[in-house]
Order: sequence, then C-alpha cells, then structure tokens
Amino acid sequence: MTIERVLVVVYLAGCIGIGVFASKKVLGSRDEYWVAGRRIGTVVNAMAIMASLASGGSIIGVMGLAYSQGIPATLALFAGAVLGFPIASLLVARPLRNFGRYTITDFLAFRYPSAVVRYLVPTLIVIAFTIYIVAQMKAAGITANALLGIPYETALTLATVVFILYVSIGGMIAITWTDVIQGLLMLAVILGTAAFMVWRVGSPLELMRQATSVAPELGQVTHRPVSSYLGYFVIWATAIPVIPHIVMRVFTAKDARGARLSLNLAMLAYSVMILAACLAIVPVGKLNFPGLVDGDQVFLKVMESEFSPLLRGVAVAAVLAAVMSTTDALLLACSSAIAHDLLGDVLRSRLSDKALSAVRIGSAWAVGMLALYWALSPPELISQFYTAGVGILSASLFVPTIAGLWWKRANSIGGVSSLVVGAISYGLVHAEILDIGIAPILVALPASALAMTVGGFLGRRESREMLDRIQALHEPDTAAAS
Amino acid sequence: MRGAELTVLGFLVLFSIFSFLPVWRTTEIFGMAVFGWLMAALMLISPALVLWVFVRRSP
Repeated sequence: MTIERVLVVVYLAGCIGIGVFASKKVLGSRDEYWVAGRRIGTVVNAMAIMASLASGGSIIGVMGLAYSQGIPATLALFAGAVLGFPIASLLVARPLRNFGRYTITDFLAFRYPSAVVRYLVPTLIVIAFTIYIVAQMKAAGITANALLGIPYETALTLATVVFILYVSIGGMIAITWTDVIQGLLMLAVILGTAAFMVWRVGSPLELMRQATSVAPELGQVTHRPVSSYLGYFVIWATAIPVIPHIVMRVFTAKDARGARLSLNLAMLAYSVMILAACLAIVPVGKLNFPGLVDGDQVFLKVMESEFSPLLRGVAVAAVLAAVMSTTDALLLACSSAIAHDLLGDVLRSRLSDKALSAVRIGSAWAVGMLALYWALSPPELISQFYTAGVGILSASLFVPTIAGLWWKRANSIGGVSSLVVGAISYGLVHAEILDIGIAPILVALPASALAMTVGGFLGRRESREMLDRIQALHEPDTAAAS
Repeated sequence: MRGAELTVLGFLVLFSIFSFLPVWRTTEIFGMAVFGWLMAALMLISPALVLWVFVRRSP
C-alpha cells in the first residue's frame, strides 16, 4: 500500500499547491475568480471541459452502469452527452461568450428580468449540483477504500477537504490547471488500461464476443423500459448546453471561436475515453468478476487484479482526478450560484472586496460540507443518481436558454413559465406523484416548450432594444450585450 | 447559424432518431445489440463531423 499512498499524497499536495499559487491572483478580482480573466486558451480549455464532464461517474460510474445494465444503455446515456456538445457549440457557445458575464443565471435574468428567474435558477443549481457532488464523493471514497485500504469515511473527508481548499482559494484559475492535469491523467489511465486489455485478446470485437458469450445481458437492451434509455439520452443532450459548470468554461474562453473549438475538442476526447472504458475494460470485468453486487466496483477489481502496486496508485490518482476535476467545477458553480447569483446584488454594494472573497470561500465550504455529510450514507449506482440531479436542470433551463437566444417571441412570461413548468413537471414525474410510465425528462421538456410557446404568443413582445441586444450576441466576437 | 452547421445538427438528430428504432434493440452483432453499436458510432461521428465543419470554415 505504501507506493499507492505516496502517489496519492503527492497528487493531493500538488492540487493544494496549485490552489495556493492561484489564490495570489484571484482573491481580489471577480473576473479572475469566476472566469480566470477570460484568457484561457483553446487546448487548455478543451482539456478542462473534458475533465469537468468526465467525472468519477465517467470512470467508476460508466463502468458500473455498463456492468449492471448493459453497454447499450450506458452508451445511450453518454452518447446523449456527446450530442449535447454540438448543440452547445452550434447554438449557445458564441452568443453566451459574447454576452460576457459570469453565469447562466446572468443570461436568463437579463433575458427574462424577473425575481423568479434570479432566485429560482441558482436554487435549482445548488440542489442539482449537491446531488451531483455526493455521487462524485462516493466514487472517491470507494476507490480509496478498495485500492488503498483507507476507511471510506476517512478517504471521503480527506478528498473533500482538499478540493474545497483549492477551489475556495484558487477559483477558476486553480480549477483550470488542476483539471488539465487531471484530464491528462484520466485519459492516460483509461486508454492505457483499455489498450492493454485489447492487446491481450487481439481485438475489441473478440473481447466483446467472449464477454457476451458468457454474459449475454452485457450487450442486450432488456434491463429497463426503452423510455429510460431515451430519457438518459435526452437529459444529457439537453444538459450540456446549459449545465453551469460547462457554461462557465464558455465564459473563460478568450473569444467565441475559442469557446466553440474547445467544446468540439473536449467532445472528441470524452467520446474516445467513454468508448474505451465500455468496450474494452467492462467486458474484462464481466468475464473475471461476474457476480459483483455493486457494479461500481468493477474498474477497481480489474485494476486490483491486473496491475502492480505502482499502476494501482496511478489508477487511484486517476479516479480521484476524475472526481475532483468535476467536483471542483460543480463546487465553483454552486459557490457562484450562492455568492454571485443569489447574494451578489445585495452584497456588492455593502461589502468590501475582501469581505466578498470571504463570502465566496464560505459558500464553497458550506456546499462541500453539506455534500460530505450526505455522502457518508451514499446512494447506489452513481451514474443514475447524478443523472437524475442533472435532469432537473435540463428540464428547467434548456428551453428558456435556447428560446431566449433564438426565438424572437420569447418573452419574460414565456421564460418564467417554461422554467417553472419544466422544474415542477420533472419533479412530479420523477417522484412518481404523476405516474405516467415514461422518463420524467420526456414529459418535462415538452411541457416547458409548451409553456414557452403559450407565454410567447399570449404575452407582450419584448422591446426592440432587447431584440437588438440579443441579435448582437450572434455576431462574431461582439462586445458584451449588457 | 449557417447552412452547413444546421445540416450537421439535423443529420445528428436524425441519426439519433434512427438509432432508437425498435428493430436495432433485438438485432445483435458481436454479441451487442445494434442499438449499442449505433450509439458508439454516434459518439465518434458527432465530434468528427462538427470539427470538420468548424475547421473547413475557419480562416
């Protein structure tokens, strides 16, 4: 265990070091803290986006889901995310980057000026992302427990304190650089492991044939109703363009072109990594460990049985990297939802810059500690768990955002209605209060779109000035509209 | 949004709808439902196409 533990300690110390280094730059400036001064280059931003999305769910969860519910269901979920990137790149990257503020709430509150938007959007973000963070923490805890022999609670607390520390003091600059390192580490471990598995058998198709001859359910579409697969797919396809920790990356890009290109490059790296995990590592896990009760353990079992202590240490660091690269971005998004979206208007006129920095740091610690408390009794199958959390954001934010950018009839009544109807209908179907037998997102998105359409046609048209400002956002690299 | 981008987006949406046709859930190749292979193909085609359009348009 010594080599593995030393590697992990070095990795964690490196993350804190980056946070301390970045803190000297960011603590006095909103622009530096939330969006890294808007000067992140394309390749760095692409790697950071990939790392932000490729969470503990993408290493531990993706393989757990494929192991338990088959590869097709899992690919449906992650193909949705991959489709979400072109939607984001083509429909939202340029206008949102040109908008030039900090958060998705800033845009929605500008487009639909209403207290409901200003307060409901950040509240939904904090709820959904706390769920998401809990799932990531479970991945960190079970990994350190399985491969390092550290008790789950200790591992959880240690990882949580480290990432809250570097996020809270280092802001977006610390997150970007830790994400780049974490992204490279994840790609190396997943692609390296997958290549080794394929090399031993000869080809990925042969590997798949062997695994499905022993466990046919791995390749079948029989585990859940089809609407569930479609639900997974639609949630992620519609989440990527509006999900705050990805949108924040659009704001950090140097310009609209850089934002779009980095989304495209991130999508490519993400796809390759997910496919390698599902088509090469999961079949080996199914062949060697057919009876696992908790599918989320499959990657750890494969690493434990196939590799030396040194490589196991690297694998633990990679899983922690996956967890932390997403959780840090989620935590910053939560922190911005509280300190910027919810309290910003009230606090900015009353507090000094130093006091505002303390509020940012305090909100990150508050969300992190709440999630830590919840993660001590973790849920099963983390991919499903956090997808449900993300679903409420897709259901409520997708239609108002896309319509706000592309539909001239979109107005405040339509925007507020679609936001509220999307969130409520998703919640009702998900909690089975409204039991209609299909995935919640397949009800919530049409309901949200209907509310927008009715509001758009029945409510008052937006002013010429507003429409001109929105039109200006679509021009190549315009200045901020507000 | 320009024509090429709209075409790519339309193609990807149609490809997704095509992938969810019921017939692909029961037909298997190399032990996996064709639905799964189509999802895998979408994950590669989608970034490749969008990048191609983007690079072609770049100065």
